[in-house]
Amino acid sequence: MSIGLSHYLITGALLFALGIFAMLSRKNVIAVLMGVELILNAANVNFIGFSRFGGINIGGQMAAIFVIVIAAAEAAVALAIVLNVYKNFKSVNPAEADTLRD
Amino acid sequence: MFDLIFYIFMLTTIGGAVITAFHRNIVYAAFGLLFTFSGVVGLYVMANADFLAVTQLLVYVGGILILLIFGVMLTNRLASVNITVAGGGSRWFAALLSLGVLIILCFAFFGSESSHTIKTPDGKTKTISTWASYQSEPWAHSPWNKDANERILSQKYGTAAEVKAGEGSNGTANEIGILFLTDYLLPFEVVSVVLLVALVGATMIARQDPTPEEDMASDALRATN
Repeated sequence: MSIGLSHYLITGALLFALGIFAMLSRKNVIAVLMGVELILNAANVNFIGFSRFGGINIGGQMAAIFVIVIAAAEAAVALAIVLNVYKNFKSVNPAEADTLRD
Repeated sequence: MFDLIFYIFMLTTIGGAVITAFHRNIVYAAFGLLFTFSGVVGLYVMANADFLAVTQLLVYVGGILILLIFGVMLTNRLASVNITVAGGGSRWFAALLSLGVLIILCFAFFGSESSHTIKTPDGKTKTISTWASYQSEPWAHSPWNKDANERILSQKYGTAAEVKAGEGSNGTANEIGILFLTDYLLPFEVVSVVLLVALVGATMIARQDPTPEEDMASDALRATN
């Protein structure tokens, strides 16, 4: 079976599921951010698969470039927030930063 | 040969993602992420997206991954055992939800029995299979992107079939540059402003408190006023 759209879709789906798992099960905010990066990469793999095999020729690549830009901005802001959370709570466990709970 | 290389890249991607999702040591998880990003670069190259592959290599491997490792180093006491990531009580819930998402996605992609009814331009209705419609008439009625595709195809170096196969093309950087300054000009400007604001904001948030010297300097300034 030659490489086609389905291979890219399967890769994207697996990356997405693993990213969801990493986001939900990790006890470290930075590992949660790694899950978010996995999910964004899954979206990009799907975009590129459709760009090559699905008929949206260059539009998929344009969308993927915008996704990469947004991912860079997200990583920068999230890391800054994580550093501040660590400074205030002395922990990077998202369950311990619960001042707003009550 | 092409297939073999593709499967190697796919295995690298998925294996790195598995390490990222499951390994208890977060530094190892970061290295798994490195393999995932590199494998995704390979997948991009296999799909004739050369500019995007280079961008991914520069931004993800050279930027975001380094930023994440900096975050790990700055928020963990490296000498202590605190660096491991303890498994949480929500692990079963996470596994259940991610497996459900995977099954739903695979069903959405490959449920070839599923079909839907579309309305053809002459007023009749027609029932087509979802998966077959991807392969025969992919995104033929998509409202966006039609102009861009037509322009790209018409100014191409070869026939449309050759362009789709990536043969006779000089790479995608040229077309992406043209599209950034024509069809995607507004998103390009907006996203550049978003990036600038996000980076300035991140610098502001992560900034250290003023040092005592600066405090004394501002106090002295206040005293003189």
